[in-house]
Amino acid sequence: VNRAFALLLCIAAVWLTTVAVGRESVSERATALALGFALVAAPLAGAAFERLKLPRVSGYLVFGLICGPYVANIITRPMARELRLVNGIAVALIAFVAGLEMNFARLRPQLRTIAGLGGVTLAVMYVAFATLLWIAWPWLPIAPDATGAARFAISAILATLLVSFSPTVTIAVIADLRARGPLSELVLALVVLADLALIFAFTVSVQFARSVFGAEGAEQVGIVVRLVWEILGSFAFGAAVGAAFALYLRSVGRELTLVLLGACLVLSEVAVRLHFEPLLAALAAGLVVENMAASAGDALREAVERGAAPVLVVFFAAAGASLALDALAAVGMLAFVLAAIRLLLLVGATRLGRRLTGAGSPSELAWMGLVSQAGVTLGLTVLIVREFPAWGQPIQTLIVALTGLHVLVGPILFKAALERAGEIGRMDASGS
Amino acid sequence: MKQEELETRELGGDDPLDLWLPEPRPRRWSRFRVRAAFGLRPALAPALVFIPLGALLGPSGFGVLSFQIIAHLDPVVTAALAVLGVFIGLGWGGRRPPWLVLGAATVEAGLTMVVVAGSIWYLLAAWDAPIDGSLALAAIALGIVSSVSSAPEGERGASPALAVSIADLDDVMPVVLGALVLAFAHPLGLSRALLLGGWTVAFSVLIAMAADLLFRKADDAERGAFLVGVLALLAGGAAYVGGSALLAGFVAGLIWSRLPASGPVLGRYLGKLQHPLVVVLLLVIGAVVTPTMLAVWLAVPMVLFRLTGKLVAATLASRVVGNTEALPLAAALVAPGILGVAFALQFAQMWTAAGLTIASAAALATVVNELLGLFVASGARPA
Repeated sequence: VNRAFALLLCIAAVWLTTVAVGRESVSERATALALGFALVAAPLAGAAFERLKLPRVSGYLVFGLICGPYVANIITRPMARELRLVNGIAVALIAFVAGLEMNFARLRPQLRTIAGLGGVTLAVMYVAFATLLWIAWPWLPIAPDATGAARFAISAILATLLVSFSPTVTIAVIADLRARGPLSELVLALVVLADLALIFAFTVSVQFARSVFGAEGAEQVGIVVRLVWEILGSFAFGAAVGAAFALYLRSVGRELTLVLLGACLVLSEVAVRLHFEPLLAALAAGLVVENMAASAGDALREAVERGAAPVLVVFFAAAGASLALDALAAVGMLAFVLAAIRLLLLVGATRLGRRLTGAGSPSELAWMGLVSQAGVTLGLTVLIVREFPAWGQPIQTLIVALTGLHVLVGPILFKAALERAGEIGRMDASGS
Repeated sequence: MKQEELETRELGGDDPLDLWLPEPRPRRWSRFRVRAAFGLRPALAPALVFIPLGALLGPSGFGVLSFQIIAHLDPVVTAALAVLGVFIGLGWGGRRPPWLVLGAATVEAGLTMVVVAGSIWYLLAAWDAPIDGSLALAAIALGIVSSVSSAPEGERGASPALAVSIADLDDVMPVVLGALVLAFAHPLGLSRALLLGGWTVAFSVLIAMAADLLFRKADDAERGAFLVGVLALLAGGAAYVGGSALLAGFVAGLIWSRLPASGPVLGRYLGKLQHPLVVVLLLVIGAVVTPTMLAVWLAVPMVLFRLTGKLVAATLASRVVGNTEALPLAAALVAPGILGVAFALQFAQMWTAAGLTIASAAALATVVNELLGLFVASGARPA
């Protein structure tokens, strides 16, 4: 009752400020208001979801969706846009923590399993999706007239986007559930390594598409150089920031909250200006810190994950507020069919991977952690629209709708898997 | 994990992440590390370290803190202002100070403000200074910035107990006056601005009550999110209508100080946020410093007339309270602390062109005043 009354007070205060009292006022400074409202109200939605045995992060997401511009419009479109700015730092922080999980010395014994399972899963899903898309092409509302190499090129690109995973959502769910154990480590390693492989596959597919669609030489070089710059440059930039941070951690070790947030600001803002991928850069930074200063890196991860609640709330509430319901309405049936096929392929491909690599328990639950899709997928889609607007636009609508579905379903499935593996809350047990 | 926690009134305790991590490896050059440079043992005032650092990193320096990044930091700065307001409210409401000390603090702040504002107004008019907006308002704003004091304790000096009480209580009048100055400078006109200012107070009351209800049965993780959210709401509500975040925080702090259940818990959690937010505030004011001739020329009389004001005000305050020497009291009140720059940043946020000049002059004057405070406080300390 107390919480419901508190929520009502906040909604009334924010509504009166934005709609009634402050409608003619200095409303471009809406970031703090949107942020505050999300941070107060979304945890209440998260707690309600927790009572229903669902992940709290799904509650944050649904809160963002309901309060966002497509439904109740309490978080208006400008406020949602402002939230996305803050979200950049949240994504960098989450990716940085994901990098801190990647200790090569600890992962070495599992590396063969991870590489084998990941390789087979990706290969099977990629080939299966490309073939299915090729066969079903005349019924897809993308470029029905495309034939031969053109159809193959678009199918290959779309297959890459459909297979991709979300390291951000994965680490966010792990941090929110305070999970620790072999399944958490396996899924995290799989999504990170798979995403790197998929970005490479995407680069090759786009290059092929450009040659098929008759792009000129200079432009061909342009996209290759851009993607190489984006991947290698992101890693180099992130590694440099990570090395500087590790050095600071080892030698000074003071004012870490501020220095960490500053590093995330650099990784998100400066990286974008240099045309790097902030997620990759932050991941690389975390990876370098963990492998340069392992004990401090572990302690840092522990501390950040303990205080991660506000970051997770902002990330998921912003994601919910920007879920494009209009895209889902436009391609609803097709999106549901593709999501179902992706789920079936995930189950089949990971089962085959386990059989071929001989991976033991709890890898049979790994597919449940691979369903989520988010930022990386959407980022690659934006590149496609920019390069190939004619068929890139319908692909973007489809992928935005699919990402919306996967980001809603993915955390629920991953939580169920972590529950079955008995890993929820083990971070607290090992930390204390 | 480091166990010791240092409580200072301005900077808050240790950085929460620092407490979690192992001590850094000792190095040959570690003895050269200025401990105070990172605010942990403030032998130097934090403003003396972070304002110049901000200026070095800002657009007029290396450009690391570009205008775009400073704009992105706007909600953080507003939240920091709200946090400072909350602490003023908690301190004022919780302590229930003797009326005599409260009177002395008000006399001290008011007199300093009048002396600085009056002289700066005269000088601005005489120089025909190119200030965008009312010269009187700019002068009052600079007076408000100059009126606050910090009365340093610990390694930086041992201020008389009365000075510490006065320094803690002399912030209230500037908070209220600062909100009024913002109302006068509001783009929608005074009557609408006063209405919006009234709404800021009502909004803060609603949010403070909501926070009390939220904190009652929340777990640790939820409390973290709620607290950041409540602060952002207080700051955001004020910023949205062009009101004062310091006033919004002050009202919430006053309410929380009267709530025995959630008040102390809120105060404890706020302490964890205070440190990084205050450092951001100082870095940002350093970064926005634009070293124009006008800013430098304003900083000089600000320092001089503030010193005069503090001397006269301390003499009067010591008479009001009695049983206290005026000179040590005045010496302890010379260091302005961080609230002065907080006021300046608030003016800079809401009152763009003139606000930047005020912020630049305030930042320069704060650095000089803090330096002056270090020497004066050690010189006037009783043997």
